[in-house]
Parts: sequence; C-alpha cells; structure tokens
Amino acid sequence: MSLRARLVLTLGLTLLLLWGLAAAWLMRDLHQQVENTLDQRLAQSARMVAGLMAQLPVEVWEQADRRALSIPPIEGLACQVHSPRGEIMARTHTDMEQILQAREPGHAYREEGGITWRVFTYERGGLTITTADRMDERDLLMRNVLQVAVVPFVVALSGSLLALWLGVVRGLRPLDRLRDALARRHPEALAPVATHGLPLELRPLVETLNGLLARIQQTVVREQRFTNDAAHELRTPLTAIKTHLQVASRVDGEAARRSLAHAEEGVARLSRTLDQLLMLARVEGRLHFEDGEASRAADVVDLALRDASASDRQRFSLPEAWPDVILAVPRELAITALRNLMDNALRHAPEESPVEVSVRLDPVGQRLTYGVRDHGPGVDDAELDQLSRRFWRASHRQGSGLGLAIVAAIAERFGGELAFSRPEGGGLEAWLTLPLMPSSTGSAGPVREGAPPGANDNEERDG
Amino acid sequence: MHVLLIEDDALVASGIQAGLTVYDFVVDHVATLAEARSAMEAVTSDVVILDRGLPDGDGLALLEAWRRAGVDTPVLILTARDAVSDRIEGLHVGADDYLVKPFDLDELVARLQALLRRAAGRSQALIEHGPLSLDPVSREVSVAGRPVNLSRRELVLLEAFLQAPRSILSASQLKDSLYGLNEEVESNALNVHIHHLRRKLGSGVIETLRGLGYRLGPPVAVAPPHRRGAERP
Repeated sequence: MSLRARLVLTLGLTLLLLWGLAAAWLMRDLHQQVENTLDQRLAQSARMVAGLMAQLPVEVWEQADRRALSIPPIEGLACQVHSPRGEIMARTHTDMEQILQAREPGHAYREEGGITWRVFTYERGGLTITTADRMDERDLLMRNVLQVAVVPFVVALSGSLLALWLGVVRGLRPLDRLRDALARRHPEALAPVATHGLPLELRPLVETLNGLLARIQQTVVREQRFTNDAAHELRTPLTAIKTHLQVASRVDGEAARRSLAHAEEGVARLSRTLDQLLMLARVEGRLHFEDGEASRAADVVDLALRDASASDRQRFSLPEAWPDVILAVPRELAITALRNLMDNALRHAPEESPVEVSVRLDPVGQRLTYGVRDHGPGVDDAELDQLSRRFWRASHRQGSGLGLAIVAAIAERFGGELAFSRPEGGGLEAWLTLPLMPSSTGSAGPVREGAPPGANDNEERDG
Repeated sequence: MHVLLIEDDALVASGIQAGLTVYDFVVDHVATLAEARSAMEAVTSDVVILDRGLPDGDGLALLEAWRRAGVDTPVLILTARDAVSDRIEGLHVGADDYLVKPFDLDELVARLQALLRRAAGRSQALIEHGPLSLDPVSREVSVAGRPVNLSRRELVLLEAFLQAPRSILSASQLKDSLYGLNEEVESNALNVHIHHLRRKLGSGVIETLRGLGYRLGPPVAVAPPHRRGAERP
C-alpha cells in the first residue's frame, strides 16, 4: 500500500470517527436539551394556567361545573383544567379527554389515535391542570434544529477531508520527486543524490543513500582496478609467450630454441600468477580449507620452511622455544601466509643476510604474532601502506605482486592482522597476528611429516 | 630501420627484439623512462615502441614531453591496458598508433611499416625510386622489374635512403639504422656497405656530400643491374 494511501486512509478514518463521535454526542445532548426546554415550557404553561385560574372568582368554578369553559385550541398544544372533584372546568380540546385526564403529577407520555403527546400534570389549590404537547410537532422542531446544526458540520468535515488529501499529496511531493530522480538515473550512475531543497525528514535518508552509493563507488573502482591490474598481469606473460612462439616459427636453430625457452619461461610466470590469483580468490571466497590437521604454531613455520632451498634455509634464525598453541586458521593457509612472508623477506634482502623469525603470544593467550624481519633496503613510509595492495611491487621486475595481498587476505578472513614496521637498523619487519583455538594449549605433538603444501605461491615475491 | 623499444618486461622485450630482427629492424631496448630519454639523445630512431606502465612512470608522460619538444618520431604505444579511454588518451597525447598486448608479431611489423611509410609521406607499401623498387614487407629489391640480391645490411641501408629520399643522412644516422647501440661496428663498415650498393645499383645511386653525409641520388642515376650485381656479395 502506498504511503500516500495509508496516510489518507488513516487520517481520514480517524477524522471521520472523531467527528462522528463528536456529532453523536452533540446530537444526544441537543436532543436532551430541547426535550428539557420544551418540558419546562409545558410545565410553565400549566403553572401559568393555574395562576390564571386562581385569580378567577369561585363562582366561575361553580359555573364551570356544567359548561366546561372552552378556550380556542392552539395547534399542537392542549390544556385542560380539572376541579377538585375531578370535573373538567376548562379545556382547549374536547376530543382529548383521555390524553388530558388528570393523573399523577409530573411529565408523562400518552398515546391516542396514533399520536403521542407529552403531558404535564400540575396540582394547585385543588385544581389539576394538564398540558400536552404533540410529539410529532416536537420532532419536527427537533429535525429543524438538527438540520441547522448538521449542515455546517458536514461542510466542515468534507472540507477537512479535502484539506487532508491535498496536504498529504503536497506534503509527499518531495518523495515523488526523489523517486523520479532515482528512477531517471542511469543504472550505473553512482553520483550522490542532491540534498538541496529536500525536507528535513528526508535528508538523513538521502544522506545514508549517498553514503551507500559512495561505498559502492569505491568498491567498483577497486574492483575495476583489480580487474585492470589482473588483465595486465596476465597479458604481459601471454604477450611474451606469443611473441616468442611466433619468433620461434620464423627462425631456425639456436635462435628458435632460445625463443622456445623464453616462451616456456613466460608460461611458468603465467602459471605462477594464475596460481596466486586463484589462491587469492579462494581465500577471499568462502571455500573451506580444513584438512583435519591442527595447525600448531611451530609446525606451520617448519612446513613453510620446507620449500625453501637449503641455502635459503640457512638464512633463517628461529626462536628457541615455541609456544605450544594451535592456530584457529587452517594449516594450509597458515603455511601459505608464513611462506609468503618468509619468501618476501628473502627476496628483498641481500643474499646471505639473515632473516629473523620471532613469535609472541599475547598476554591473554588468544592471539599469536609471528614477526619476520629482513635486512634489506626496506621501504619508505608511503610504501609501507602499499605493501599488501594487490599487484603492487617495490621494484618492477619480480614476482606477481600478490604474495602479501594473499597474506593480508588470509589474516582478514580469520580475524587476524598483517602489519609492517621499519625496525631499528634498517630492513622491514612484517607482523602477522593470527587467532588461536580456544584452549589450544594442548600436548606438544611431533611435527607432522608430509604435510601438504599450500598453493605454489612461495616463489612469488610480493608487493 | 631503427626501432627504440621502451618496455619494462624483459621477457616481452626480448621477444619483440627477436621478432623485429627477423624483419630486418634494428632494435634497441630500454626498460625505464630515464634510459629512454638518454637513448633518444644517443641514437636517431625511425620509430618508437612505447609501453605505458614503466617502473619510473607512465610512458605517456615521456611521449608528451617529446611532442612538446618537437620530436616527431612516429610512436606506437604497446600496452596491456585496452580500455577505449586509454587508447584515446594515448592518441591524444601524440601517439601515432596503439597496439594491445598480446599482439600478433605480423601485425606489429605491419603497423611499424605503415608508420614509417606515413612518416616518409608515402601512401603505397612499395617504395619506388625511378626504376628501383623495394618491398618493405617481402624484403625484395628490383630494378626495372629484375630482382637484385642485396645483403641484409645493404637492404636496410637502401631502405633508410629510400624512406628519406630528399634528406641528407649523416654517417651516424645511417649507423643507427644499421646497428643497435650495443653492437660493435667497424669504422669503415658503412663505407663498405655503400660501396656494395653503388656497385650493384649504379655508382650514382648514393651521393656523398663531403662533411655532411650521404643522400639518395636522382632516379636516373639508378643503373640496371649487370650480371655481377646478381651475385651474392
């Protein structure tokens, strides 16, 4: 149901009901009041007649015994005077003996010949006076009074309803305008909606909408950049492959072999980039990585190191003791994250320079932080924020630029954190904080053999 | 013809270099804007292939600077960005052509040839000079319809003269057309190639302007090849 219809209906019905109740109340009171007033008039006329009769000499009373004084009748009003003995002394109507009979004093309704009368009986000084009013006369009067009261009432009510309708329609016009403005927009237009000229009540709504649009815009821009970057990253090795293959088909001997070798190099690079992209998509998607193996803090590092060459492994200095805790991160992903960090450190530091791995348990025992520190040239402050951006590289010639983005995505997915700092003495230190399993201080198990490696992203350097 | 290739990806660059060499282009490869600037000062390139995303900036900035400085060498932009807006932007800044990666080697060669042709003010693919004609694509030279055998260097040298028929070409310009920056060149190599061309196509085909360089001779100076000209040099 539209807002306008609901408003009009609710307000209209309420208005009708209230006015109706007020009208009913008024009618009842009016009816009562008219009735009382007319009754009073009836009683007063009886008293007036009694007063007149009292001034008459007693002889007149005696005469009346026989002749029944007759007063010319008034339409709708009757009167009859009875002597103390019950004889009719005077009357306005001769045909109304029954109605005007003297009975108990006070007001009463009496009916005769289909006509109802309001009768008042009054006693004074032995005389009994009855006065009567025709009820249909009274009803006619009542109807006239009501007519006079009802017409302005109805006019006012209709006016109110009309004003209500107009008010609602006009009041909701900004909503219509807003709706039209939104409907007219290009489906991809994400520019903010103008708040100029909007009523106070609509402004917060439009501002919220604009906030949402801005966030969507940001997401779209980010996705677009990612798509563009991904296209670039995939096209470049593809170009190398294609060009070298075409060269290989146009030359012979050693030159052809060299081109084919280059093409293969391109294929290897393309497949690494694809693996990285798939890994990122898997981490960011909601796929399950659980392999049923507990990811112990120490095992993860050990397994991550397993893929490094023997000479690279020499460069790592590891903590002497490991806290015996289990990470609340699937083992494959924990290994991938650690390996990417270690690989990044190896790649960006001079050969032979050490890479220090540290581990720190937070005081409450809910999170574990790995530190991986290299002695390379490090990055400047501006670049510190860029490190985990996708496809960002410190130098242009290495890796896919996805390694640290994958680490960041893993941390984000499991409620961890990836941070970087520039330690004293140069280089770069990466801090990977991962949550722990509740009550993960289980018994120390041996390092498991033959653990499946994560994705093949260890060869990549990252940005 | 000399091509300056500005491309940061070594693998792609080596592919283009190898591919263009097959088509007798002399290619010098640089990977950064800074290197490109010094290469542009060191050699006379006939055409430039420019990648956009370079480690030290956008290739378009370099192109813009060149165009402002009056450098009119044809530039072909080679990039993985394929959005229409990117292409338009590139062409607006002063690029002469635009090719999106991955491309076909033949298409790249054809576009480079077209750029060279337009730069020389020709509209036909075949380069003609009196009875002499050179097909830049099939790499065939003939005089009055009879094919002439030229070595690769001789052909490249002849092409350089034919592409600029009225210009005086200095020895260093001609060397740039023949050799890359990193090639060892013997001091009299250019003279040897010019001598061979004169022997095969008539002594007047290339004029020497002492102290200035060389120039293509008038069309009438081209002599029909005698029997010795048909021999392999």
